[in-house]
Formats: sequence, C-alpha cells, structure tokens
Amino acid sequence: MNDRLVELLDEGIRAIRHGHTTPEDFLARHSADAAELAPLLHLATQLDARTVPPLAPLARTRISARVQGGIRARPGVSHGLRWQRPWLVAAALAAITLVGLGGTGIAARDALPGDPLYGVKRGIERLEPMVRREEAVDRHIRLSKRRLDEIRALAGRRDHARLSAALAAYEEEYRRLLAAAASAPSAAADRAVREAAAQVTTLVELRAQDAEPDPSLAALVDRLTEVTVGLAAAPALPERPTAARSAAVPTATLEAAHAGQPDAIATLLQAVDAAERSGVLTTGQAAEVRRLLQPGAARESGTSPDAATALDRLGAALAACAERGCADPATLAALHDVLSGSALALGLPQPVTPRRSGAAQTDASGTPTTQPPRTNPQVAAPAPPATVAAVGGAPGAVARPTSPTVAAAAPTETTASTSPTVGPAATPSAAHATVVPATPARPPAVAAATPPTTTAAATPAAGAEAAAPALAAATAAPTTPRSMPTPTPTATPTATPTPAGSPGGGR
Amino acid sequence: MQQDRLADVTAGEAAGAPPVSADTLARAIARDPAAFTELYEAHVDRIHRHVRYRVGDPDTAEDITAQVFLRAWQAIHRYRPQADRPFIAWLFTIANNLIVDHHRRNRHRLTGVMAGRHAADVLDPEEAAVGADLHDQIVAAMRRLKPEYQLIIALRLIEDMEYEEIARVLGKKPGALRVTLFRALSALRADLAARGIHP
Repeated sequence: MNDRLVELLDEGIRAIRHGHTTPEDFLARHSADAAELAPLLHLATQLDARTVPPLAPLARTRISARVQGGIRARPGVSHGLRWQRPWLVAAALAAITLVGLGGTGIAARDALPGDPLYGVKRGIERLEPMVRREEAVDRHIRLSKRRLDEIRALAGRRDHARLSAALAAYEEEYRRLLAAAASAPSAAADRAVREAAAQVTTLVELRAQDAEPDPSLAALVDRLTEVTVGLAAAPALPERPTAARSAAVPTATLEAAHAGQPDAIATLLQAVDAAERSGVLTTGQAAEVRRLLQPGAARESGTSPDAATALDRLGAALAACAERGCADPATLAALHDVLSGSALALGLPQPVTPRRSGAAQTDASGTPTTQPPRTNPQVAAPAPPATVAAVGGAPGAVARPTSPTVAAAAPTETTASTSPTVGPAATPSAAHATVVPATPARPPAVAAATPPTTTAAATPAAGAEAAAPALAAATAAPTTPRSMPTPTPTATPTATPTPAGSPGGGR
Repeated sequence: MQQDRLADVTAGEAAGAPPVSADTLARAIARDPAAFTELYEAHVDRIHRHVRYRVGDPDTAEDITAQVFLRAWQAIHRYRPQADRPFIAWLFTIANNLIVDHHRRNRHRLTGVMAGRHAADVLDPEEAAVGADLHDQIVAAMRRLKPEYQLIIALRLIEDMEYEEIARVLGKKPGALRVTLFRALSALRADLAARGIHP
C-alpha cells in the first residue's frame, strides 16, 4: 500500500459516487494501478445505502414505542422493592419461607380482595422477585392473570366493594404489564401484548355473561378496551398469529395511498406482501388485494382531506370492488383487517358504517365465544343480505367501532345449533367488523372469515405490530398514576455514554 | 454562548438528517421528552441503517437501535455539545459500542486474521462462490471484519459521510481515515478471495 493508491481509491470512490465517471473509465485512466485498484473500487461500489433495507414502518413503530416507553417513564422510581442491606434480604427470605411454607401462606394463596389473608398474599408477591428469577414481562403476565382470576371469582357475587377492589388491583397490574412491554425486547413485548389482549377479551366475556354487570366492571372494560385498541389478540386467533405484522400502516400512508401516491401504495403493498409471507393471505388473495391497491382503485372516490376519510374512501373503493365481484370474501376480509387494523392502532374511527356482519357467536351452552368462525367449521352461517342493506348504502364497507346499542341493532349470526342471544353487553366488537360483498353469487363467507366478537383487543389486524403506539400511549398516560411503573432501561456500563459528549467511544 | 455551540452542533449534522434546532437540542439536554423525541425522529433512520448494516439480523438491529436512543436519553443530561462534532456523532458512538458488545456476546466477530483462518476450513471456494448472491457475500464478509474496519466502511460508504465528518465522529484525522478505509477494503477483498470470491 502506498499513499498514492490511497488517494486514488478515495478519488475514484468520490468521482464514481458523484456520477463523474465509471469504474471502467477511472481504471482506464489509471491503468498502471488498475490491477490493485479494481477490486477495491468494485467492492466500494457494491457497498452503499441502497443495499440496506429502509426502516419499515412497523419496525419504526416498535422502536418508537420502546423509546417512548423509556423516555416517558419517571426517573428514579423503582420497581417494587429495593433491598440493599443484606440483613434485610435475609429477613425477607426468612419471612417468605415462614409464610410460604406455613399454613398461612397456603391459605393466603386463594385469598380474594376483602379476605383477611389477601394482604398476606400480596405481600408474598412483592417479595417474590427476590427469590424468583423471571423477566419483568413474565412476572406481570403471571400477576395480571392472578388478578384476573380474582375478578372471575368475585364477578358473580354481587359484592360491589370487593369486586371494585379486585378490578382496581387488576388494572394496576395490567398497566404494569404494558409498561414492562414498552421497554422489553421484541419477543417479550409481543408476548405481553398478546396476553394483554387476551385478558381484555376475557373481561369482555365476563361482562357479557352477566345481564346486569357491575358498573365497575363495565367501566373497566371500556377503559381497557380503549387502552388496548391496537393490541394483538393472537391467542384468540391461533391460525393468524402474524396477521398484525402486515396490518398496521400509518394513517398518513393510507391517506397518501388514497391520493394515489406511489410510495404510500408501495408501503401498503409491502404490508400485503408480509401478509402473504406469513400466510394471512394466499397468493391468489394477495394478488387480488394488490390489484385493489392500485392507484386507480384507491382514487375511485376522489381525494380525502383527512385520514379517517381516506380510510372511508378506501373502504368504499373496496365495497365497489366487492360489488363487481372482483375479489372473494376472504380477500376482502383480509384487506379489511389491514385497513381497520391501521385505524384501530391509530385510534381512528373505523371507516364507513357501524355494523357487525360477524356478530358474536355462541356455543352450544350459549356462552359467547371469541373463537373466530374462520377456525370453527361449525360456524358457517352466511351473513343475511339484510345486513348489507342495513349499512346505509355502503355494502362491503369497513365497519366502524360502534356503541353497544348500535351493534345490538345489527342482525347477529349464530351457529346452527344455537340462537342469537348476544346482547348489547357483548358487542363492543364492531371494532372488528368486516367487509361483506353484496353480490349474491358470491357466498358471503366473509362472515365466517371474520372474528365475531370482543373488543378491538381481539382484532387480529391490530396485532402486536400495531400495539406499539398503543403501548406507548398506555404507558405514557395511565389513568391510575399510582400504578405507573417505571420501565427504566437498563444499561451495561460498557455501552453507557460517558459525560462530556464522549460516550465511551474508541474501544 | 451555549446556544452558539448548540447551533454549531446542529448545523454540523451530517447530510441526510432533518435539521434539528439548537433550541430543541438544548431542551433535550434538559431532559425534555418532546425535544428528545424530535432528535429521535431526526436520527432514527440513519442509526437504524448503520446498525442494520453491521448486525444484519433485523430484530437485533431493531433492538440495538432502540437501545441507542434509550441510552442516549439516560445520558443526555451529560452530553456536552462540541462545535465540531455533530450530535449524531454521539449516537453513532453509542451505536458502535452496542454493536461491539453484541458481537462480543455472540462471538460472531472475527478479526481479520481469524477470518482468514476461518475461511480456510469452511467452504470449498467454488461452492462458496455459487449459490449466494455476490452482494450478500460482500456484506457477510464485511461483518467479519474487525469493528474499526466495519465502522469506516459503514460511515464512509453506507452513510456516504465525508472524511471530515467521520473525523469529527471518531476523533481521528481524515488522512488516517483514508488509510483505514483502504485497509478495510483490502481486508474485505482478502476475506472474499479466501472464499473464492473475486468481485
């Protein structure tokens, strides 16, 4: 190596990058050094930013959620107990042993809020981190499940005070779970989001089972539904665990796509690609959806001034497509997931019309179930044409989350063996409505392809990916400040920036 | 005075990042979450690109990118603007430390010498040359280089930063950086050649 070669390489890279020359021309002009320069120049031209995939919108959302979760956390507030004195640790361990192994501990295990031993139970829980190694997310999943069990045990007893205490304890733990998820690695965050969504679904079911649900329970369901909108419900949709990975598209992108902007449409198409890769859409379905997302289709109903309208218009375009029979119902339902998932994740109203084509299902015992008909071959009842007519002239439109009252007015579907008995309490689920083609020749199997009930938490399209902004919001603005944990990001000393703007560089 | 220095820092941001006002930087240093969010928005793409190129795995790149900003937030109150050193230089340094930590933990990092040894007992050169896209091979080889070489390739060729900018990031002289890039590309070529790949 000599200085001249170094300078020539630098000059060549610069000239080629600026388009002033080509590698061949440059090497021809420096033929004496071409043998040494050529491979290095060719390598340099292979390495540029174009070869790095851009930060995908979904990945950006996830990163943003984690960062926001970290920077919005209150500094200096510890999680749980901080025992720093060895003697205190020893005392605590002794207490755990005594309480945990003694009859008191065993009795306390099943204690409910209001029971004399409930305090002992919670005290043991607070000491557990000292003797039990587990990720914060897993700890909060475990504890939130326990709080949920307590609610379940108290739900039918008509004891407002105790149920309220259980609900408060649950909500506190639930928010801790979301906060832990916000600062957890992707896999753990995904786990937490799925669990959170499943738990809200359980609460919705609890509320639905009671003709006169406790107002505290009803209020909690409403609150958590709002918080959880946009979170995944993979447990309820085992066959579509990755649906959400393709679902959340920024509102601005939808709007821009609607206006026919190629980049935005490309982003939507990427979502469809992801849906196809993950098995959410078949190849044929993906092809249909891609065709739907072409600029012409998106512009069919003109431009829109805001994102919500854009969603509406896209839904309307979709409906028009359905009328023409341009795609099968499952495809339309899948595209609906993409669109409505985006809206839910962003807290936007769903486009177009309040209705529930996939109304709550009941099993043989009359218990509402959250299993999507898609996974249950017994549920195959088509959506009545009247349902389409009831949506205000927008057949096939994507539905908007509705009030229970509105949803209750929509025709419901049932399995062959049960009658439609789903009342208002079971119907916050219009958040997950669907697209119903009006063409009779195409059996509206969309209903069967649409998860029937529950909150947006059970919306597959909202998904873990879409959960990120909701997570950030949930952790940034808890309704119960005292329950706000502090997911302070941990830092290894080797990577922690050092003061004075010299963050440990020069390893 | 402090504002002047902040203005210099933000004005000196490497090409490609949206402008961030000196006031925003000052508020971020005062631990204003909204201001830090602006910094995050301005730099996340470049930091992610840098990390992604060096670690490859998208999930890991995502995790490290988030960690870069979380750790920057933890230490932002200690950040001292330097007129000739853009803010993103600080982020790049944090990113580099995290990437090195990652490779160390996973024992994927090989020095140039080790890469040569590794090459000798891994693949038949002809087999190596077939079946994989040339660019993928080049990128894989780059990730086998020692961190110093990875960094100069990433900043100069991927980020398209001028040597003067890189010098401010790394605290080295531009001339030395030119030499480092030459050596990095030579090491890259040697690594590939050992696998029967001749770009």
